[in-house]
Amino acid sequence: MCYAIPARIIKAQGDSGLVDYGGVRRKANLSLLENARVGAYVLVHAGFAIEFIDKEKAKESIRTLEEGAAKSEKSGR
Amino acid sequence: MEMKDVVRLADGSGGREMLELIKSFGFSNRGEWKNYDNDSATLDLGDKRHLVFTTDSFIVSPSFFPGGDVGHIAACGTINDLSVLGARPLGLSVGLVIEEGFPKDDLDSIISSINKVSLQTKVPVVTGDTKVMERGKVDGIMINVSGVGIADELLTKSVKAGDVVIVSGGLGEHAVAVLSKRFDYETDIVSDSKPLIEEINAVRKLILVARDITRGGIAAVLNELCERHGIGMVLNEESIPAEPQVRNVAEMLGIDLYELASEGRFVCIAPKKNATEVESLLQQFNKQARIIGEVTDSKSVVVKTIIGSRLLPMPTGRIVPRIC
Amino acid sequence: MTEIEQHLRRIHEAAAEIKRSITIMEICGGHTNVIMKHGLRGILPRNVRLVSGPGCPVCVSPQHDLDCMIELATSGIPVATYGDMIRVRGSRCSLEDAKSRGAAVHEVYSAEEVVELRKKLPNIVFFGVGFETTAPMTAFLLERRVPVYSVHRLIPACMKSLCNGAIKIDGFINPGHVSAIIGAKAYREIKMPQVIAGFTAERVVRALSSLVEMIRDGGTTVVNAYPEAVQEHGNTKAQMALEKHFYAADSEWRGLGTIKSSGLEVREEALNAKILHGDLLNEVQSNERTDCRCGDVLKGLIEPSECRLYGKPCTPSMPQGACMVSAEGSCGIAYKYGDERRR
Repeated sequence: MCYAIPARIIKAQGDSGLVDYGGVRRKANLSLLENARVGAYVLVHAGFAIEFIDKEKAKESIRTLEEGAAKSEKSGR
Repeated sequence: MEMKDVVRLADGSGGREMLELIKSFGFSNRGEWKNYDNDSATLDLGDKRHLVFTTDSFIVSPSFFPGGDVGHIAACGTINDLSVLGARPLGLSVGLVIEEGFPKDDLDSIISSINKVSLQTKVPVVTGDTKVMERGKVDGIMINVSGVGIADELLTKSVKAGDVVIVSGGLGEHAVAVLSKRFDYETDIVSDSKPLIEEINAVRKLILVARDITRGGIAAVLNELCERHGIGMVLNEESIPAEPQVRNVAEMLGIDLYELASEGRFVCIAPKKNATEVESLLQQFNKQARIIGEVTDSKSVVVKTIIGSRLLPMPTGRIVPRIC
Repeated sequence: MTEIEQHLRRIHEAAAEIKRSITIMEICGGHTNVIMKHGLRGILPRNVRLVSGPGCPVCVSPQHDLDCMIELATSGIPVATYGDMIRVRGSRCSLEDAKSRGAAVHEVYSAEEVVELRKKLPNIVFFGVGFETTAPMTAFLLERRVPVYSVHRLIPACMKSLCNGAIKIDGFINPGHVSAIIGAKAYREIKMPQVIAGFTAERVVRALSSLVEMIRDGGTTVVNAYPEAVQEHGNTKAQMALEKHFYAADSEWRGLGTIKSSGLEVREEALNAKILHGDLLNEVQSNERTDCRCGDVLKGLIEPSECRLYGKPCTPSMPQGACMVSAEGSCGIAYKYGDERRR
């Protein structure tokens, strides 16, 4: 729920951060995350970073679902 | 006081509410003038030529934004309203309502922008009016620019199913530039405000109608065209041109890309046989000019997406960025 | 074949094996928006029905609470809230209407702006609207001692209530960003097929294929199809902030009635605007339109077009109920994008 878009932290000073969404730079409050560092990808909602985005998992999530589907087929129903 | 008894912000947003408000004014006694979508009016001079008359008022906050200022968009806006009807602009009037305390330097910059456009397009500012209001009674500066022009042939030919819809460049750049201060973000996007005289001249003989894209974005202008001509359209979502940063801002703010305003872009409808040529000619001015769809008999604007299709209705309400 | 086409094919194959009609509810307005924007309903198998749930916080915020905020504003107490809420009509008018008549209503994009506003307006009250994604920002304000009128609501509690509700739901598409905060763990006690999904067309179709296959196989688990942003335990720092400043209370959802432990109430009385301004607010009278069927739409009982008011007079320009005003309300979305199945 709620519009939140992925952005990369390009500056972080305490709870104040600057994030970049594909060229759009805006400040973001980092106080809801621990160890939010420059270079990390985060989900930003209403000006606050709410969670880290794991780039590896982004690729993995596709594979997991494919595997899950394969399992269902094998087990029969 | 009932809600209906006061004017609301939505009434000026360029969407359905504004059309309804204007209809309620009832300016119906036009004599021999014809009115086009409440933007411009034309008078048949009897020898196939038409006098075209248009007006527009601009209150933009902030007055200065990446790529321009309110003077620039005011001058271009009116010149473009004349050009899209096929008229050669002859002269402009500039009416100013300025807030007491408005910095003189800012005023000079804005006037200088208007002059710059005037010189660039060779359209003189021939008359005007200036008023100063007490501090707080107007927000900075309000500019009204009216203009007259002559069209040897009005660009108001009839359109039919199968004709092609073309946009002259990427969407939403003006909106993204202007909103940047309010929503506190930075991009490389600057306002696309510019005079469209040359572009329209380049394709004028090949197209049937043209309209500039302003408030309400492409959603507003295409729905207006459909209503005026009794047609529908189907657009190909993947063909809609917009800079990635524009798309990202739209997503960040939860605003529909199709409703973002431009100031130096127009849509036109051309017969199928001319479509590719029009697209190429326009690409010489802006690489993102693109064929985006075609006219249908359906009476509504439909967008074909990567999965299915949906309606693109007339925008309503003020642009309220969404977060939830 | 594109990825989307592959997943669509899987949905059709699994649905054919299920044979009976199934109903899947997407809880979240953001998902409804993606689904409608891409015309997804129109290309699903005939026996897979997608219904929109009450995941539009603006739509489910009780009208009385909105009336109270308007009362504060018109009584000279500055109020701030997100843009979504500004145009929703209460019993008499909206916050925007009140603003056009001079009330001190401030629209903010981020809660941080309220901290700035408070420098000039020391008694400003924040109207906390939204689900678990947005409540942590309100907690941020409470930490800084800004009084809050909270209508925050909790998704899992609502889902539990829907499981025993008027329509039979076979599976849920869970909201991706609420889940980023509360974690996949928050749904595990709900014994229903669920898939947590992100917000692109690809992610939603992917999630749907996984869900339809799970329903076919008789599974009742929570699949996290958005692991790049959602962890099992969620964002614990945000959860702790919520725990510090709020407690879960039985709360009213507009159109749905009261749901147990489904809302967040401000713990500290001195910061709870409902108590702080109690004298003023106790006088507020509200009256709801009885012919508005937002509640039934929110529960998935009817489609927007089945409400007698839909389209006439209820339109986005003259909304009669919250579902039409909010850009994520089912009626507003249906009106805007058109329902493919009906064309």
